[in-house]
Amino acid sequence: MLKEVKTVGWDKTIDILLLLFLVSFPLMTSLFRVEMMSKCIIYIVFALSLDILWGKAGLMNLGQAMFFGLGGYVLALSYATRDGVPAFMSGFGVTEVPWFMQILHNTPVAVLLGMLIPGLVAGLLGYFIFTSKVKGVFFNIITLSLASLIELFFTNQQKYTGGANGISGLPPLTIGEEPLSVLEHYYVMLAVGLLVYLFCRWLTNSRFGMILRSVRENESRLQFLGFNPAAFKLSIFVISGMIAGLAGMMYIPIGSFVSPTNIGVGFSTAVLVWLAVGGRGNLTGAMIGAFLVTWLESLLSEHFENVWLLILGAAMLAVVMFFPKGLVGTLLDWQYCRRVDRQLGDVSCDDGLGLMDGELATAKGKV
Amino acid sequence: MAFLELQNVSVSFSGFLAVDQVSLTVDKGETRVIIGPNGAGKTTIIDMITGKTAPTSGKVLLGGADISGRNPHEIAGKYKVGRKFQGPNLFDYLTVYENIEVALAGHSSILKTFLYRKNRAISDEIKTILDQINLYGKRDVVSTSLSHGERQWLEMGMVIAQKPQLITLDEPTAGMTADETYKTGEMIKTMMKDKTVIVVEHDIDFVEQIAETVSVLHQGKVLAEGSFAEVKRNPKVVQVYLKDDDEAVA
Amino acid sequence: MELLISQSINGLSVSAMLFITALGLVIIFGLMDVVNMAHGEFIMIGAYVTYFVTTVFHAPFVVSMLMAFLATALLGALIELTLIRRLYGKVAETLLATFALSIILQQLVRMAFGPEDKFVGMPLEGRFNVGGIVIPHYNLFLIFVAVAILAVTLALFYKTPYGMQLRAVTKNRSMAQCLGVNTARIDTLTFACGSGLAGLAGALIAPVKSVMPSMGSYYIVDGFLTVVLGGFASIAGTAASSVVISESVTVMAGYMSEITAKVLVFLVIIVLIRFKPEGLFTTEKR
Repeated sequence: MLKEVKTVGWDKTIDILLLLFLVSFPLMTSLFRVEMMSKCIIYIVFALSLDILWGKAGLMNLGQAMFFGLGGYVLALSYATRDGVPAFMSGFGVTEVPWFMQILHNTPVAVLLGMLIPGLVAGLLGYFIFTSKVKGVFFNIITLSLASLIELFFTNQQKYTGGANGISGLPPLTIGEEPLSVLEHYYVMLAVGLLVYLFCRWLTNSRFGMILRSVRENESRLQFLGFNPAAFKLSIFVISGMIAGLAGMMYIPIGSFVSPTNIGVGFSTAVLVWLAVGGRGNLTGAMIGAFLVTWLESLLSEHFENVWLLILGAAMLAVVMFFPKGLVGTLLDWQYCRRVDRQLGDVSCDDGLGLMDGELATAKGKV
Repeated sequence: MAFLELQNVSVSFSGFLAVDQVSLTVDKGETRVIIGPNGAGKTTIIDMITGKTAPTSGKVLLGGADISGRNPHEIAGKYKVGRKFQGPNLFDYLTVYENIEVALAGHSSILKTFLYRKNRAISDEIKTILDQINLYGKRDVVSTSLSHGERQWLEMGMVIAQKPQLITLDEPTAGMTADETYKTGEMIKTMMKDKTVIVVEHDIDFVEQIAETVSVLHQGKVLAEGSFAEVKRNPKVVQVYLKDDDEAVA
Repeated sequence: MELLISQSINGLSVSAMLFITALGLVIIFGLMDVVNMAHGEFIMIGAYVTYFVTTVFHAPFVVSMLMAFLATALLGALIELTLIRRLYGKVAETLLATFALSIILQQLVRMAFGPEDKFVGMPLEGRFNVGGIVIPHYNLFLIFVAVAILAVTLALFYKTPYGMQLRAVTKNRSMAQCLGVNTARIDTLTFACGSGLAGLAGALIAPVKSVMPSMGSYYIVDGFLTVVLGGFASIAGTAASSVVISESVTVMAGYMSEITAKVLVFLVIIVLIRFKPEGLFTTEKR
């Protein structure tokens, strides 16, 4: 019976349209644009990783790029050290690939570690943060600080990371000996992206996803229903970290390099902006935001690199002040109001409906 | 036999004794109302039973097990104690239906949230609860759109969905109209008929409507205990309440 | 051993800078629960003001300190009135808005004055030489200023009507309102004051570090860690934790890279906060 009153949400419709667009995109344009779009898909995966964390569970990670970067560096080091000591290491007198990098020679192991290491970092960090009694902005401050420190640390450890220049000249994906073409790369990325999307949809539609939203709305209430909120926050933080690590690895064959800019505060800020613009908590907003902002960025920064950052900052400010739910969030709110009006006729649809940020509720000092 | 037993429990907050050597036993299936003037320690007692506050000394026994100082989620999950907070405490931007669904008993570990499948039995159960609290028609509305009274009822529904052995209700009628208060009393009587219930309440008519036994708390101590009629006649109780009124006037 | 001693003396002057950096953050957070992500950019602007006042206009350093404080305080007040005011109680939105602001300010400065480093001359050139350990006069000056700021701030909070009103608002905003406290004005003043302190920190940092558009992001992390360890809203806690953090980092940096030392200190803080969530130096709960 419940099914009858529920209509298909516009978010799902937009998702399908986006998929159709991405599948047919190479038919419409040049290889250069296809390569740009491959990066876009990676950014979409990265945005999804933050949306299941921030949008669903209300945990605003200000340093999400650290997981992306960790994944990227793991795979990059695996490639770079395969044929002996790379130039950036031997320049510092390293004559032998250190033991912890030799493990990475096996590509499947490296790919696994590219997700497990970010997951482990998230797990340890999350354990200490979530089981502590400190609430609220503590999580934000700590994640931001860590991203900043990791960025400095990777820049500083030139011997192992190539310093500020990072690791470049990384190979594309291959079948046997044959490297994949731009088009093949594109569809591989799209396929992985689709799998991640389906996983995130499944995850957030499950009861687990519903509990995450309850954590966002009212964590302390949840305890009195027999749930351990810390365990849920920890799990989603680990999952989110692993997906971000995966996105970081996807970036390696497309971008062919990794550097501290992929791991630090700047890139972490970027993903926050995508979610803020698109609207968080419904996956679609994250994808649309990542798509629009990064596409616009590649178009605009080709010509005005300086102005771009200014535009980005101003756009972010404008969205926060005047459009706090983002593009898709606003749309879904409107649809929700229409549905409720149809069903009940008299419910006032005031400003406070739809997708909300749980931190707002905790800020008001509940319980 | 005693189902819930508080043995000489005290709670002090940085020197202030909120609960002072209270002993209380509640039998299985009983509906117990705790009354008392402001600051008598009523909510603190509920806090102790549900794990929000640990007793500074003394023990809380539930069905023979010592639960004092355990985590709220353990007490709620393992020992099946439900709590309705003073003033509705819900998941704001979840729908009415989802609020009940979250509360459903038996699916609270992470693994179980992954294995959970909504089947016929579950949707029937949710519908029954929503009917009992008169909110089935508003099941798809986010809970912030409800009126205050409806929000209170929704939280009662959540407590029922938890299938607790022991229900604690902290001022379930706070902020309700007289009509809503009466309806709430009937809800408690029908929905929680065979449960063990502890209610903290101010509204004397409401207490009379639901109470089987009443404990009167004053300045952190149990002042009197008995049926509503007995307690009402108890001179000490009358004095406390009258004295309190005097102070309020002065 | 000499390295240890000279590093710990050096650490004291770093503590002084860190304290002034973190103090503004703590005051703003403690009063209005606002985490100002643009705090680092206020530091940067303070440093640029100092560069212009001393290097371009050749005015004395003390003038530049005053100018840095006033300029950033004014900017802070403006930002509080136009942005922060509309976002009270919305933690995520405030973080995002001030984050956006930090990008904008940084980029504006980069476009106006170029990305390259600017240098500010040392206002005090002399140094003491005690048994082989060298202490620049400027380091002592930093410590002196930090102690003075601590004293002035405490006096402001506990001895003036403004401080009393401010503490009242911190404890119970609506009650303070009912008693006739103009909370809006207190908010603006406090945000301005916190921002001004950031500007002052920028002025003091300018002679010892290079002045550039992105310098702020470097200091804000240290500031955050100090705030966390100091217990989020306590001025005395902030003073204590800035000494602890700076001393550990500076002393350890004598034996390893500064970044590694910072990472280690960070990890220790995370573990400590797990077991003492109210911060190391506070006992009361806010």
